[in-house]
Formats: sequence, structure tokens, C-alpha cells
Amino acid sequence: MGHITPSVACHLAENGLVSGIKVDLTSGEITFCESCVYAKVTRKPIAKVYKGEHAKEFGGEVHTDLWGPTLIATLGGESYYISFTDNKTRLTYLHLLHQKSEALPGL
Amino acid sequence: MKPYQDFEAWYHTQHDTQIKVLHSDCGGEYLSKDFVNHLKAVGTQQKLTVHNTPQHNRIAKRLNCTLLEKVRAMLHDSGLPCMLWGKQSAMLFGYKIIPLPKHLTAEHLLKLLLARSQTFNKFILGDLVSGYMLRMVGSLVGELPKGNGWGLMMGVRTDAEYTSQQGIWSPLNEMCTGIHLIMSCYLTRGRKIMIYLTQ
Repeated sequence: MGHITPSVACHLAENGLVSGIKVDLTSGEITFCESCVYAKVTRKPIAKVYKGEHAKEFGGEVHTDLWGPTLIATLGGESYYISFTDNKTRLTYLHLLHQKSEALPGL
Repeated sequence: MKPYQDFEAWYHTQHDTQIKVLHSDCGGEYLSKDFVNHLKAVGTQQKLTVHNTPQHNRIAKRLNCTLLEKVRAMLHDSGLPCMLWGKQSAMLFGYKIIPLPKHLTAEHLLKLLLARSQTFNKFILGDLVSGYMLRMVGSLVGELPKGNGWGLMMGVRTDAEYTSQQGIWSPLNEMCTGIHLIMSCYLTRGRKIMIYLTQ
């Protein structure tokens, strides 16, 4: 019957809808099936802790992200920022932007 | 990419360093030809995260939370709260801040609520950000007078954008009919508490 819902299996057996099976209810209802969970997941969990190697020296790796828009613009009218964070020292550089496109004017 | 070039120059001049690897998400701004060509010309390796997985660029993303927390704490400290709550809630509701004792206890809060309750006969306590506050208020529930139209409501939202974008009211809208006072506690990392009363 595959991995049928436990309550349905009980229902079938109790009402005699299927012959030749016995459902043992003494151990309580099964509520968790590990293989069902394995079959349903589509990807591995994302690690809670930083995986992989950290940069060994300052400047070795720089993380960047563009954030925004805010509902409240700054006094200067900026509502985005782009941040650069060093992996080793976490030295951070922040640049406020009016528009997202300002992150990328033609070089 | 002007900001990036500025950053590169700052790194180079002030810190005598070259950027070896640039780690970003797959945002369009990082994928443009100009930018990729620039990185190639300078010799920086580009590292992109898998799409829809901001967790892989956690260091950059965490910074956003940290910055917002700092901004909130600073604004609160300087007494400029209206910047916090976003245009919507600021326009829809007028509010004022009650100064609270530094170490707020359940009794303080209860006293405060009781004092207010003479003017308003119902209140809602919502948007408690931390478990600490939840427990504290949870201990209050038993002490509140029964009947008399007292109501207590608690909600937990921890995402950073929630408070600024939708205001603090949206989850309560349905329950708000007939309730004259809305009270919201917001706890920042520095354990500062703001209480907003709205009529």
C-alpha cells in the first residue's frame, strides 16, 4: 500500500475493507515516517553556521549586497545602499544610493 | 560601477589591499557586462550565490539587520521616533512616547496600563519583539481585572522590515473595532522599550 496515511490504514483494517492485514494499535498511532520526509524534501538544509573556508587575509574575500528601497528616504533622498564587508576583518564600506541603477552606471 | 570603484580605490589607498574575491548574490547589478568586465580587468574573482539562497551570502545579509538595529537604537536615543515607523503608520496615527523606567518590570507595566485604563477602557498590547517581553507580559495576564472590557493581545514579529513597512497595526485590524487604545512595545537589542499609544 505504499506509505499510506496511518489513520486510513487503521480505517481499512477496522472496517474489513481489506482482508489479510492486521494493524497493531497497541503501540500507539504512528505519526512520523522518516522515509516519507526524505522523499518529500527537495534540497538539503542550509547550514546554520558559515561553511567553507574563511579568507585567510584582509581583502581575501569581500561580501556585497544591495539593500532597499526604504519607505522613508534619507534627507538626501537616498533609499538604497550597497554594502561591502570584508570576510576576515568585517571592515565595512557603505554607499548610499538614490536609485538601484546608480550601483551600476556604465563604467 | 561607481560605488564599487570608490570602494576599490579606498581599499587600495587606505588599506594597501586588493580585493581577491567578491562575493555577491545574483542581482542584476552584479551580473551586468560592464561590471563583470571591470572585475576581470582588475583581476578580482567573482563569486555568486545560488539563486533564492540569500543564506549563502550571510555575512552581507546579516549586516542589513545589524544596521537597522543600530539605526533604530540611535533614532530612539535621539528622540526621533517618527522616522522608525514608516510613512504609513505615521500618517495614519498620531502617537506619543511615555518614558519608562530603565529596568521595566511587570509591575511597572501593569501600573502604567492601569493608569491609562481610566481614560481608555480597552487596550491591546501587541508586537512584542522578544521572548523576554512575552514572558514578562504573560505574567501580567493573570493580574488583569476580568471583565470590564479588558483585552490583551500579543503578537510576535521579528523581521526587520515589518515595523517600517506595514506599520504595527495590520495584524490587529480585525480585532481593533471598539478598542480605543493600542499599545505596542518594541524591544531593541539594547533593551530599550518604546510604548506607543494610539487613539
